[in-house]
Amino acid sequence: MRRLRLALWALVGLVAAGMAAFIVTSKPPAPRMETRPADDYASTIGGPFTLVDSAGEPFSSTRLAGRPYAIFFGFTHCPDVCPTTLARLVGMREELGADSFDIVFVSVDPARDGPEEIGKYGKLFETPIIGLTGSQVQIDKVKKQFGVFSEKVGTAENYNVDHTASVFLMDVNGQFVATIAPEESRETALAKLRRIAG
Amino acid sequence: MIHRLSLRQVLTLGSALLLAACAPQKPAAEPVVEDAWARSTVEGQKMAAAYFTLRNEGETELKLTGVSTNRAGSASLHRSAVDNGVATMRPLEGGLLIEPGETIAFEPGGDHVMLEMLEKPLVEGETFPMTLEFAAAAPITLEVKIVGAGER
Repeated sequence: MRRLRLALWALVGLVAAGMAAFIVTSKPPAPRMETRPADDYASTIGGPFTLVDSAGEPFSSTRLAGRPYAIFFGFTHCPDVCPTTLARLVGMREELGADSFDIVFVSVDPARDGPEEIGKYGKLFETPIIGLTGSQVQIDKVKKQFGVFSEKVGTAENYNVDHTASVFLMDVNGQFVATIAPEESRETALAKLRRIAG
Repeated sequence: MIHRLSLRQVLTLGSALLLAACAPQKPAAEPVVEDAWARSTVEGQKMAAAYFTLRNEGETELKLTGVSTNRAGSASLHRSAVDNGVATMRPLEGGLLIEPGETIAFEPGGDHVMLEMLEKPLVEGETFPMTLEFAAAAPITLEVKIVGAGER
């Protein structure tokens, strides 16, 4: 009987020791899972591209080297979201300084947006905007590099294009840093722009 | 609490009731529009958007049913939205209800008037007339102010 009691106490001791060891060695909860995939995602955004500028000349992304930039994909016939996004970027650049970052606008509608159209459209904002277009193949490639989606809506002459709404922020080395979504506040957007701004 | 009304009180009350009965009926729905504006456009740009705020100062709900202007080939009520990160734009089918006392904003990135088939560009500093139509209120014609594309 005494032996059994001793054995039971020994068992209790073992369990207690095991629990203590578990508490001591177990780590705090793992960091939120999204950090790793986001890093992987970031490293895949961007890369070298060649498009066509408003003069009709080839435009290589190497021309952007050494300058941080905000790049947005849209189309010149876009009545609401595109001019709103560009106006917002223009306003924020005024606040951060004219040299703080470049604004790059890439057409996802090259069928209607030739160099002339993209050039005139950029001038509308009365501040330098690098307007780019290209062949459908070039546009498709750069869209893929930035993970941009676009799709024609309607078949009439005045068709609309649904497209990725976010602006991509790239640092001086052409590395992706963050996106700005339309629903984000001006303060949040400015904080992100300060991370790339020169 | 029981006391008799004096003749004067009766007369005062009576005339007040009479006045209330004769006063013009409070309009069922009373639209008030402010701050109508549009961004400037360039030659060749066929589409643009116009914005405004609309308040219902009446006592019943107001329904915005349509819009027209001679400045564009067509004008319609539209809504921009971001759906899974993608900017979309669709007609506002069936108009828009505004509750009594409610103010709704037609603003960038949201509800807007879609102007299509622009014959000539919208020039900064100019204005153009636009008419809002309602289900149970008289239409309102307002002047839309054209501002620089990057201004607001």
